[in-house]
Amino acid sequence: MSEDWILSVRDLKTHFFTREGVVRAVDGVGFDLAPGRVLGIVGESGCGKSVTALSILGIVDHPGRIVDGRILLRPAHGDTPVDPGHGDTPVDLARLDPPVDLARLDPTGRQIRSIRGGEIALIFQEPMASLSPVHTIGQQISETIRLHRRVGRRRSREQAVEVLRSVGVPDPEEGAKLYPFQLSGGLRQRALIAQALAGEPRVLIADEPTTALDVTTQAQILDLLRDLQKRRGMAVILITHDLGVIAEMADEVLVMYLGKGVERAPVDLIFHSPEHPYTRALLNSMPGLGAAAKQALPSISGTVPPAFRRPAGCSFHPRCLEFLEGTCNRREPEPVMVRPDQEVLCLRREPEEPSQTRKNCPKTDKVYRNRTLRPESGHFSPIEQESRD
Amino acid sequence: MAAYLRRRLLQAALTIWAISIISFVLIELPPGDFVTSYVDRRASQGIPLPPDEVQVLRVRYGLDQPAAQRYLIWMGRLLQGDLGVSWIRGQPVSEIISDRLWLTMAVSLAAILFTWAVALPVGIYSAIRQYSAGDYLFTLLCFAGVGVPNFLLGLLVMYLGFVWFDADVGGLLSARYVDAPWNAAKLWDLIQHLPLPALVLGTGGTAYMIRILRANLLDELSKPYVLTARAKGLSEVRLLLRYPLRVALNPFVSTAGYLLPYLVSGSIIVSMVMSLPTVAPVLLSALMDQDLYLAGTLVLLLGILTVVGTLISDLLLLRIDPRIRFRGTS
Repeated sequence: MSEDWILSVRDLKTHFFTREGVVRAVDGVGFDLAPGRVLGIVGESGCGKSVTALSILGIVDHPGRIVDGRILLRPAHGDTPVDPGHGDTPVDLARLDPPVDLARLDPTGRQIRSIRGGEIALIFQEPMASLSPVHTIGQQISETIRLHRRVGRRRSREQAVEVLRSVGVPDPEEGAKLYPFQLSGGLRQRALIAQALAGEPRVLIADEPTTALDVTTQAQILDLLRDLQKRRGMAVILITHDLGVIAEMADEVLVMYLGKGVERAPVDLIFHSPEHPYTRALLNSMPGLGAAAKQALPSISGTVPPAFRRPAGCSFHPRCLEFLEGTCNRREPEPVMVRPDQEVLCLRREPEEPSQTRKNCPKTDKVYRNRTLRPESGHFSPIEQESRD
Repeated sequence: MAAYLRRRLLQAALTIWAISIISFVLIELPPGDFVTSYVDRRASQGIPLPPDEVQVLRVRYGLDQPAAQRYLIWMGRLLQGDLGVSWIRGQPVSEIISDRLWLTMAVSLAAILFTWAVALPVGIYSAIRQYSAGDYLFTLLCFAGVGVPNFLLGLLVMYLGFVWFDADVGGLLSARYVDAPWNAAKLWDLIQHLPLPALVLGTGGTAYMIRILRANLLDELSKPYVLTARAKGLSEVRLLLRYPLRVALNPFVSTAGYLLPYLVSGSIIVSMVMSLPTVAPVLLSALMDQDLYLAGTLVLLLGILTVVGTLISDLLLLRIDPRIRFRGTS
C-alpha cells in the first residue's frame, strides 16, 4: 500500500484470556488510513470490529490484550521540526519523525493518554450509555478540551459551546447545561460527536455511530460526519454492519470475519467486483429497492461459530459457498493481492492451488450442497443458485 | 425545589406523628403496666404493697385513665417541651438522657466515620482489582465482619486490650472526667476513647458497605461511559473518581440516614459489654420497666433521627444525582 498514511495497523492480534479459554477477538487485521479518507470496517456482530477500535486506543478491557502486531501513528506535522532552510519544499511524510507504535506504549502512560482524544478520538454506538449520567454535556466536553489544550475552565466552557454549535445542536448554550437523559437520541449522538471533536483529533473512529438511532436521524448524523470530515480534513474509521452506510461514506473498505480482515479494497471494487465469498454473501443479503416485495431476503447460511471453537483452516469455510474439501478446512489462507489495491484472504483466490488437494477430493460441489441444505442450518440460502463453480 | 422541600417537610412531620402513636402502642402492648411491675418487684423483695396503695399509685401515674387519654397527655406535654419524669428513677427524662444523647451521637458519628474511611478505599480496591488476592482477602474479612456479632468483637477487643496493654478499654470517659463539666480536656479524653467503640460498632456496617460499593462500582466500571472517558485521555485515577465512583456513591449517601438509628439500637449489647454510657442501655431498661415517658421519649427520638436522617440523605442525593433531581421534582 502507499506510504501516505497517518495510521497503519499491521497484523493486529488482540486476544481475551478468559477462564474458558483464549478468545481471539482480533486475529490478524491490517490496514492503512490515509489523511482525509474514510475507511469503512464492516462485518457481523462479534467479528472484532469494535475490539480493533479499542485496541488502537489501547483501551481493551481486562482480560483482553494486544498480543501481536503494530499500530503505527505518524506524528502530527506541527510536532516535527522540519529543516528551516527547506520550508517551501513539500513535506515528505515518510521522512519525518518515525511513527509511534501505539501497541508498544504503556496503556496508562502519559503519551497514549495525550493521543486518546487528542490525536485519535472514538465515538461509541450507544450515545445514552456512553455519556456520564451525572455530568452535563458541557462539563463532559469541556473536560476533554482541558485534557488536550491549555485553556482555563471558563474558556473551555465557551469552546464546548462552540463545538456543540458546529455539530448542529440548536441553542448550544442551553444544550451544554443539559444532562444526557434530557436529550433526544439524535442530540445525544451529536453531543458524543462533539466530545470526540473537542480534542481536535486527526483520526476519528466511529463505532456504529448510527445503530441506536432511527432512520431519519441516522441520515442526519451520517451527513454531519461526512461534513465534519471534509471540513476538518480528518481521517475517519467508520465501523458498521450496514453496507448502505459503507456505500455512502467510505473510500476504502475492510471486511472482517472472525477477527480477520478477509477483504480490503476501495469501495467501488467491494461493491462491483467483490472477491471474497464472505463479501459476496454480505452484499447478497442486502435488501435492494429493486427486489420483489415478497421475496425472502437472502442470508448467509449457518451462524458465526462459537468463540472457543474456531473452524480449522479458513474460519469461514463452514458457511462458505466456495468451500473446497481438503483445502479450506486444512490450510490457513494467506493474504493475496488480486488487484493492485484489492487484498483478499481466501484460499480459492490464491494463484496456484496445490493440485494434490484437488485430486483427493473430486466431488467438491456435492459436499458443499449437502452443507448448505442441512436442516439445522435454519434457512436455505438462495445465494446457492448463483454460485459460480 | 422549594415546593418539593415543603412537601418533604410535611411528610416528615406526619411520619413523626405516626411514629409517636406506634411507639406509644408498642410500650403499652406488653401485659401489665409500670405499677404492676413495681408491685411485682416489691413482692419479690418481701415487702408487698397494700392494694389501696397500689390504687393510689395508679391514679398518681394516670394509669387509671384510658390509653388514648394518656397518649394525649404525653403528647401535650411533649409539645410544650416537657419530656416528663422517669417513674422508676424519679428524675426528669431530659436530665437522664441529655449527656448520654451527646455521647451516643459522638460514638455513632465515630462509627460512621470509621465505616466510610475503611469502606471507601477497600470497596474501590476490591472493585478495580476484582478476583485478586487482596480482593479475596477483603471478601473473607467482610463475611467475617458481617457474621461476627459486634458484642463478641467488643469482648474480644476488651480482652486483648487487657491482656496486651493491661488497660481497661471500656467506657467513653476516664473516671476523673465522668462527672466533670464539659471542657476541652474532657472532649479530648472522649475522642481518645472513641476509636475502639467505633471499630466494634462499625465493623458490621463497614463490611456490608464494602460489598455494596464493590458491587456497584463493578456495575459502573463496565458501563460504556467509562470507556468513553478513558478514550478521551483521562488518567485512570481521575477517571475512577470523577465518573463511576460518583455514581456508585449513591448507596453511601442514601444509607447515611438510617445508619444513625441503626447504630443506636444495634449498640445495646455492645454498650453494656463495653460499658458505654449511651442511650441504648437506658432504652432497654426503660422498656423492661415499662417506664412510659423514658421509653417513649427514646423510641420517638430514634424515629425522629431516622426521619431527619433520611430527609438529609434524600436532599444530598438530589444534590449529587441529577437523574433524581430532574425526575423527583418535576
